Amino acid sequence: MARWGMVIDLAKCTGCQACVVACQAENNVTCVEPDQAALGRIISWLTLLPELKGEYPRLTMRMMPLLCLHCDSPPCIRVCPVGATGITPEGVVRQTFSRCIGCRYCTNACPYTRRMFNWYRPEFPAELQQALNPDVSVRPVGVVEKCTLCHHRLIRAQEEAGVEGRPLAEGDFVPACVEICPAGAMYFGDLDNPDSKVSELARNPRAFRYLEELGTEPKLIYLAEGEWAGVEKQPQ
Amino acid sequence: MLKNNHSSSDALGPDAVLLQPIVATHSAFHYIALLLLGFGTLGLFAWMYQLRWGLGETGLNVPVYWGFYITNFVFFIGISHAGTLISAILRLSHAEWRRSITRAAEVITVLVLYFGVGSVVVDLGRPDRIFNVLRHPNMSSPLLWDVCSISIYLTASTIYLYLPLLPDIALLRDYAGKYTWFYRFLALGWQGTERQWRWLDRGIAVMAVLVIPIAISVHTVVSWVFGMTVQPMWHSTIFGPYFVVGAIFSGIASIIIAMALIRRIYQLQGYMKPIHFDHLGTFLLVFALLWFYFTFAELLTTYYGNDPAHLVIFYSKLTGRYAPLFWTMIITCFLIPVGILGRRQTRTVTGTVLASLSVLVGMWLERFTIVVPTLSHPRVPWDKTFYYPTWVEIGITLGFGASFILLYMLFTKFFPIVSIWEIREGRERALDEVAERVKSYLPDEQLEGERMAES
Amino acid sequence: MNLRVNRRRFLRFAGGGALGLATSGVTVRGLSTMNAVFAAEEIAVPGGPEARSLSLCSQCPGGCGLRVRTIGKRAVKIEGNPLHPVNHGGLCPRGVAGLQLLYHPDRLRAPQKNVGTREKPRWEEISWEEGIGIAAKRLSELSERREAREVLFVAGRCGHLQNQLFRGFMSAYGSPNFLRAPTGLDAVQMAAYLQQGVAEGLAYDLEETGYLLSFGVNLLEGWGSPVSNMRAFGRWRDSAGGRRTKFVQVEPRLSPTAARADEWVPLRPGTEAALALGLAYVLITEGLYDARFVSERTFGFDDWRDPNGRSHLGFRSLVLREYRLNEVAALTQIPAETILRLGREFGRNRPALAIGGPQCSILPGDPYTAMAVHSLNALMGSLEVPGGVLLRPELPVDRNAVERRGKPLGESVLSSQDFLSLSADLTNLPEAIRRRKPYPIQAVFVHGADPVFSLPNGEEFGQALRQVPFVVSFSSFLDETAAHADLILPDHTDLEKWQEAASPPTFSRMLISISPPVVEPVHDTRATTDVILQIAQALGGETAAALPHSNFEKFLRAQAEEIFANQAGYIFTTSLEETWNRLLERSGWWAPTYSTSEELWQQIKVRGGWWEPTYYFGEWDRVLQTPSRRFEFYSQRLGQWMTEHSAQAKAIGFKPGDDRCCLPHQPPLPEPPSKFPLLLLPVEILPLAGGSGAHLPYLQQIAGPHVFEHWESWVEMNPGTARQLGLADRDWVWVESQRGRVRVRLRLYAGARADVVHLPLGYGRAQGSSWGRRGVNPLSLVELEREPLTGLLQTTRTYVRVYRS
Repeated sequence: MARWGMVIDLAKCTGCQACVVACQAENNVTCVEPDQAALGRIISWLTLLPELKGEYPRLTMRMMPLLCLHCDSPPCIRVCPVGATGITPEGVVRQTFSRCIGCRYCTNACPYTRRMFNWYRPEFPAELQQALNPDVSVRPVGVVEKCTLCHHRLIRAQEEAGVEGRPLAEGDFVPACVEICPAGAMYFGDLDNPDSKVSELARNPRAFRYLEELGTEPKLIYLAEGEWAGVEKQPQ
Repeated sequence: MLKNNHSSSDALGPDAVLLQPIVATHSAFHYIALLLLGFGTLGLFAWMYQLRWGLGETGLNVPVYWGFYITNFVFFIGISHAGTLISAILRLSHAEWRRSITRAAEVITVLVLYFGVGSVVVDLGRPDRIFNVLRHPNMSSPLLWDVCSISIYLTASTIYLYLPLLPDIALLRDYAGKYTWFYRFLALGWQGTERQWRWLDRGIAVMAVLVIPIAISVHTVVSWVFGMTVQPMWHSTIFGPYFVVGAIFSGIASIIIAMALIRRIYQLQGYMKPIHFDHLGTFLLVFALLWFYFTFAELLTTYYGNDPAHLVIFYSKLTGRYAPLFWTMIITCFLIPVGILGRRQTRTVTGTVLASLSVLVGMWLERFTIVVPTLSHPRVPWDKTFYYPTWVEIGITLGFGASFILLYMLFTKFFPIVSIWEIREGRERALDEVAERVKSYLPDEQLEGERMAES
Repeated sequence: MNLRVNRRRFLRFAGGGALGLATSGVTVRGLSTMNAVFAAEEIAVPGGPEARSLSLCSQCPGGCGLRVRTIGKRAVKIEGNPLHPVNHGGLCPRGVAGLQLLYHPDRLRAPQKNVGTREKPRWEEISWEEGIGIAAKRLSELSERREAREVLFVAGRCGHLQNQLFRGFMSAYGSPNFLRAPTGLDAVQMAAYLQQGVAEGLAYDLEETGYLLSFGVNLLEGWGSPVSNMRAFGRWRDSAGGRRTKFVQVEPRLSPTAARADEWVPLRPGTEAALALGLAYVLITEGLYDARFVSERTFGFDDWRDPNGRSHLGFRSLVLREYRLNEVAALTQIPAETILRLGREFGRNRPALAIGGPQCSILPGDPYTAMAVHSLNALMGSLEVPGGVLLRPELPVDRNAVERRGKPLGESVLSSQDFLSLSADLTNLPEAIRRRKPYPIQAVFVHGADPVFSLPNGEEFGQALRQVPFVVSFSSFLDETAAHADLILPDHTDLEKWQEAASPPTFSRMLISISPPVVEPVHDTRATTDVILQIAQALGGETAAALPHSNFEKFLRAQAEEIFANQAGYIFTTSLEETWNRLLERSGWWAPTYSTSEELWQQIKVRGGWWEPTYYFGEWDRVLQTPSRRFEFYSQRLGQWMTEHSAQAKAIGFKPGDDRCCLPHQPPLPEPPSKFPLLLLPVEILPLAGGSGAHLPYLQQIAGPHVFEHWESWVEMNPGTARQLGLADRDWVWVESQRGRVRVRLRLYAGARADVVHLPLGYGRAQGSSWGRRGVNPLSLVELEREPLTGLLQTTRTYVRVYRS
């Protein structure tokens, strides 16, 4: 059975946020009204977070796309009183919208603040409802939601593989964010397969697991920004 | 209207005043009850509004997912430690001055627990799915431990209130002259026989012992809702004992205030004397010191730990955005109480009441400054956050408070708020018992006599 | 305990118990009712047969190919077309947000007629017959009165062939007044014209370059072909590639692009030309420049003598004399060591490419800076090499374009200009309309542009429109320009119409994408191309004869013949096949997958388009069309023009006859007026790039991640400066220039230079969707200063002051 993981190469990320919007479009995530956004209630499964260091002009800014890291030891699933969140055998931290009672304990337990809550019933103007994806349920009021690694795509791929009578291959399913990245900065695959691209990159010296000292064992691995090696000999 | 005026005063003698609230109702009661009902209705309306539209009507946001409601939850559960714990501890240690206090304290516990649970229910995004907690419990969740321990505590406290209430209900059945069927039903056929008294004493003793670990577990488990996460300044090993100490602290304060109000309104100065307030005030002082010790230890350790994620929150409390609330808390939880209660002269009824009011304000702030600053400073990069409660949250809080007071008042209208039989027991038997006890501490007279005879 | 149980007591117990159960039943009932109410409110999304169709995004000129997932009749997801050579399956957030464009609640649902006045419009929905009838009638009246030239067409974002169609329509109708909206590449293209002699098609081979020096270009935020740039960026950083291309961003502000660069050079605003020439100094003095290329393919490097015997200053002398390291360092406020190091790196890492000066997709830069930057490319011999500056060949569809069949049209209304320009500058239109010289304008058609909003003199433009008797807008939304119209004939959005795009800006290969509509029209709108063709038919005569196609599909089909006749190139394929095709082509073979134009057409519709993947380097006749047939450091064309317009030399700041006005040089820096100490630099942010996009919630939510801003304008200020002014983060402030003031929230941003503040472009609409009607438009503050050579409106020289509101 695969253990799904993701690698984001921060050196290649352009900070364009195509992944952010692709996730919203794929997963029927509502856009909250501007006054709600001002109150801090934007629902964003994937957010590009900036980290500025220094003062002008000696300044760097790291832009990090942050989504649910699908930890192998998630602090969030332990605290849900009704088991609305848990981890599937393939390592996806699932969220069962129909069971969630909205106590928001999991949102507070997550050290990455990757869980979002529906403060109101998610609204879509009638016209925009036509753009909703039928594979993903539209959440009701009062439940927690978060990145599902496009689990609906995984189910689809599994069904198709089943129909075709073959095991699920690695390229069969890719989350919407990984698919859209124009710079190719996101990789997705089976961490249990030592030959997969994600496994290879996970062993890269630039690889780091965000906040790993908290023991979360995230399966989203980042590759730190690299450096230009210096003046290179040019072929004459 | 007392039906059998003379016989009751004959039967109760000087304690007839304890039945007065049940017998006669002042018009002021009605006005106050109406006012409280108004606030209660406001709270109910606010909750209906929130139910219909969603938690978006509060001031909560990302990342400050918990605010007033959870603060109230911890606060109310904290106050619930007042009654049962104090009454149980005082009973077990044979403290004679407990006799006029125990009932008032136990009622606080039983009533306020409902509002504690109510605060959590109000905080849920989908209270219509609350039975999922019973249908699909996840035993690794501290919230679920809360559900268990609070249920047990509620049951135990109700029993622990009811048992000592039985003789007084029987009294009311015989002498009150109204609601006789109600009292007869509740009295369960109490006749005051030898056998019944023995059972009652044993029952009360057993409950007193049981209730203490249950009570301690309740607030420990409440603290573990925070302590079992990895969030900075929540994930602290000290939280269990710290919250228990804080709970008892706020509990004692609430008893004092309740007692002072009852004393004034129902003219019970004879039963709740300055000595009672003096003793309770001493308790409050001890817990103020204890609370401060825990708080100081927690803050010092955080400061020395130097972990950046912790220090951001630490400084936000000490010098930053939450500094006004934090320092008000220190003043009202420590400086004012110790100032007033530390000196004998100021440990009067008025003094202890002022100190208690101060403590209640401070302890609410303490809960708030535990819940909100940690949530306001996520570990990951974030914009400046803020949290301002809306009318819904304030309304529900006021509604809960008002409803609690109203229910308490109603209790005093149906049941004596001072345990009549215990007062009588104290008057009739306690003096002798205490004398016996003190004698048993001192060298035995017979032996003393023999020794003298020998020498 | 003695509990006496008797019947009465038992009944009471039972009764009480039953009552208790009933009330708890009520509670449970209440809960389940509530549950049912919430469940009923949940939106159930209907399913349906699934399909994936191709389309094109036209929200910016980038020209990305789309792959749209449809469920039944609904489009539910926009992804990238993996076969499209521009974006290879990737997209920027605007592309993905296109769904919100298609199903936007505030779209115009039918043609609209203004039945009120221009000052207080009142819109009434009319039928297409009536709308087209009104337009055709007016046009035919004007034509009969021989006033055809007084009709003007403004085209902004539109595909190449659409552009051709509109231009052809205008010329067949008899008007020379076909105008394009300004783009960020106007100054750069002017530099290419002056130095290489080519008026269009300048391209950069970003993917293969070894060292990129970007002078203020927002490479990753909407410039050129944004997704293509991002893909190249990803390639530079791909550890698998083995080598990492260094990307240096020269910009006063730490923009998201600068944050992603390998090195950020925070120079003083406006001094980019000086820095470029300072780097040229290093290249020249250290002998790092490509001497062979310079001697074989350039003109004006050394001092030279013209046929009349006059000696002229050469580029080398200019640089060595006036752009010495220490002086440049002092002017640009970049340490000399850094300039020296950058120059050496640039010289030693080939292919080395320099792009710039500062520009954004709707606002052009200044030509002399662009010339200075482009000179670096010439010094390094980075023309016509992989990773360098290329020139897109002429598209097969342009060779026999409709317009060439038109008759001579006379002068355009903007022809009497004192500026040097390659095409008419739309920002000059308001004055021309006002002056009614050389002739008045009687009708304006606007498509794919919103000049009243996006031009620096937009307000003026709006007032000028008031004087035009007949204004027609093809906008899908009621935007600022459409609010001045008499008639709105709303266009389809991308997925509803036949889409077409050719090579996007800076893309070096010939490419033509064509896609059929993906979904049925949501509202009663029509593709403007079809509408124009219908108007042409209604007009009859020569116009109808020139445009015989009844709809755009047929027009495109006719273009496929041109592509087929080209006998080269391939349909979009996978990269594996592409490599094979290139190999073949280099060996002189061509193995297409089609053998008739009909097959070509069908395959284009299925795969997305046709392109020529091979670039034939070194076609110098095509690439260098200056009088000397060389790259001209000293632009002879410019020299010629200067002789004819001697007053301009003075305006530029030189005496007539001073050679420096034909050479790249640092333009003089403005002086801040007293009381306005801070420079205002408007910035383009990717989600709102080009001024459109503000009405899409997806994009508003991600507008300013580096300052955590969304949905509202903000002004970025350096924290130190804010402290000095007594301002705190999130304060409401006034930003005031000599032209006016706006109220906006202040955000402290460490990436802002101490004496510079930034406002994002794209906000401040007053018309259209409520989602877009927020914030402030920085263009309302900018000084309307024209660059003296080209007349391009400069927006980087406005000074403001900021104070608490």
